Amino acid sequence: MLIEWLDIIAPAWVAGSLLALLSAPLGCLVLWRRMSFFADALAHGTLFGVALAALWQLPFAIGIALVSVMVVISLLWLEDDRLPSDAILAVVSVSMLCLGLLTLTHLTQMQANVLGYLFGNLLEVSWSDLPVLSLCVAVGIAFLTYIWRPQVILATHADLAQVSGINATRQRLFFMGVLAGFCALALQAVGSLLISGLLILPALTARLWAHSPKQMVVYALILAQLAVTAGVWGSVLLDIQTGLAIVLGLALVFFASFVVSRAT
Amino acid sequence: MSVSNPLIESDPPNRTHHEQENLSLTASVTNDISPLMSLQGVGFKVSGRVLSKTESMAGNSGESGSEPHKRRFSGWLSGARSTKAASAAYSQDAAQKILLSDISLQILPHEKISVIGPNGAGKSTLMKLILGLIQPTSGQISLHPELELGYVPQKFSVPAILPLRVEDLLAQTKKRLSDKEQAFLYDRLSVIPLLKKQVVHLSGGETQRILLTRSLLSKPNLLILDEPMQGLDPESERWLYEFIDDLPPFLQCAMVVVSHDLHWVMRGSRRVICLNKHICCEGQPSDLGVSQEFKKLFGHQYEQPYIHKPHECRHDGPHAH
Repeated sequence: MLIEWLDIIAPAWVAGSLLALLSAPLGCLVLWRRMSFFADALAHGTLFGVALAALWQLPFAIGIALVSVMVVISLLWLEDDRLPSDAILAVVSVSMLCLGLLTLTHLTQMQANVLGYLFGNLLEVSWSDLPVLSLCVAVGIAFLTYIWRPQVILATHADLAQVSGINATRQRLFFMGVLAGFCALALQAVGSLLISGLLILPALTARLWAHSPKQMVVYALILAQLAVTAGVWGSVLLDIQTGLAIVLGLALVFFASFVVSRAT
Repeated sequence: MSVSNPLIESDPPNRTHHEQENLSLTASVTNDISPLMSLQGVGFKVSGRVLSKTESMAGNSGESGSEPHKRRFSGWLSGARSTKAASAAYSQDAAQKILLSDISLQILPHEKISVIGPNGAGKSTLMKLILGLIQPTSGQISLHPELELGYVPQKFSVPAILPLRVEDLLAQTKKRLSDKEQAFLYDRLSVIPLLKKQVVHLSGGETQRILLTRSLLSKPNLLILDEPMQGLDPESERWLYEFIDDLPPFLQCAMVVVSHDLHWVMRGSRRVICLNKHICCEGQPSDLGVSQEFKKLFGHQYEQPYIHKPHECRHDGPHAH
């Protein structure tokens, strides 16, 4: 009986661990660059992108790229002195979510799987999915390593970064690209609603304990890995959506850490 | 070395990083008397609603996250600080506002220049133009191909979510000093006891020292200091004066200092530029005298007599242009 379970759990656990490997450093960057709301908007946009791709019979990557571009263009267009930018992000985020759900439920054949797209269905990952996933995560990590230094410098002080020759626009686009890619990968694991939780919570908790950027990344990695492990087992044992289990676990750890850090 | 550079279009500077270890940038530029930077008829204006200086100072250190609703996405995308040059025009207030007009100046190697002027004179705008953070709307800026800029900003704060230590901040810059030179610099600036501290925990004076160290590690040949004395206690001020006046030979560079401190301006710099949306006057401190107009503009901070020699400039209180 356990062996059967392991056959379901093992690939899910590996997939989740691979994602945690990418989500931890990326989450740190999202926080440092103050782009948490944007990550959320992109996460919901990914859902819409997947839905459009299913509707028009395109590869998922094209749908996601299309919607990411749409998100950026709409943000550039929706500028108004009277409207705060984080609220505008909320508008885009919510619109993407609604459009995505609408497309998914009414215009494609994927009605049955709505919950899966919202909260993830990591347990449906099979061994055959893992090679591609590993490759994508490897590419993501390699790219992240390539842009890491300019990104941190930009997060520290934008003017100083620009004076030392860093192209802020290009770096911003690179960052959005890797974020969109991550959202695409994480859609199946934790679902559109919880991607930003997976990204941000490990890094946020890590901040409570870290004394350097590198430490923050390492702690985030450990936390994300622990959460994935607990989440996968928890979802099997408690019969809840995996994504929910993972992110709820992360949230609990954050609150516990906060209490402990206050006490010490 | 090379002949003086032809004026190039004011495109963003094309920086080529010279990686040869044995090429000392300052030495090579000393043999070459062509200017590090040359501004010709440079002007800068913005359209649409422009933040007044007090508004724009209310939270703009790098990308300030404390007031996110003030950031606009076009500026956000380009990472530029908000002087509204790239922002959308607003229908109710589409007037053009001229921040700088007809600025012509050259910065020669090893020159020490002070820029003074009343609030709103465009000093920050001029610094941003020199640093390449914004592009002029008129005129041209030409750069020496081996120009290496250093910058100590007026306001600096690291976002609290980033647990950056001093040594992480210093590692962000491309180090062009030798190990020996770096050791000398660290010693002179008392950096070593600060290395493991969080940047956010540093005092004003410590932050200035670290920013100065950061800028000097890349061995700039043009260093821009934007009001470096602001917010410093008298001890740190004195210390900073002494350091700037007495740079070690391997750190010799041209400097442009924006300062309100007329004492140091008149004593420490070789050339003073008085700015009020255009260059009112410039010259050596010893040539500049005092006048009623000067006192009206800058207050009674400076006691020594100043005889102003107007050439083409008419001083009728605040300039009307």
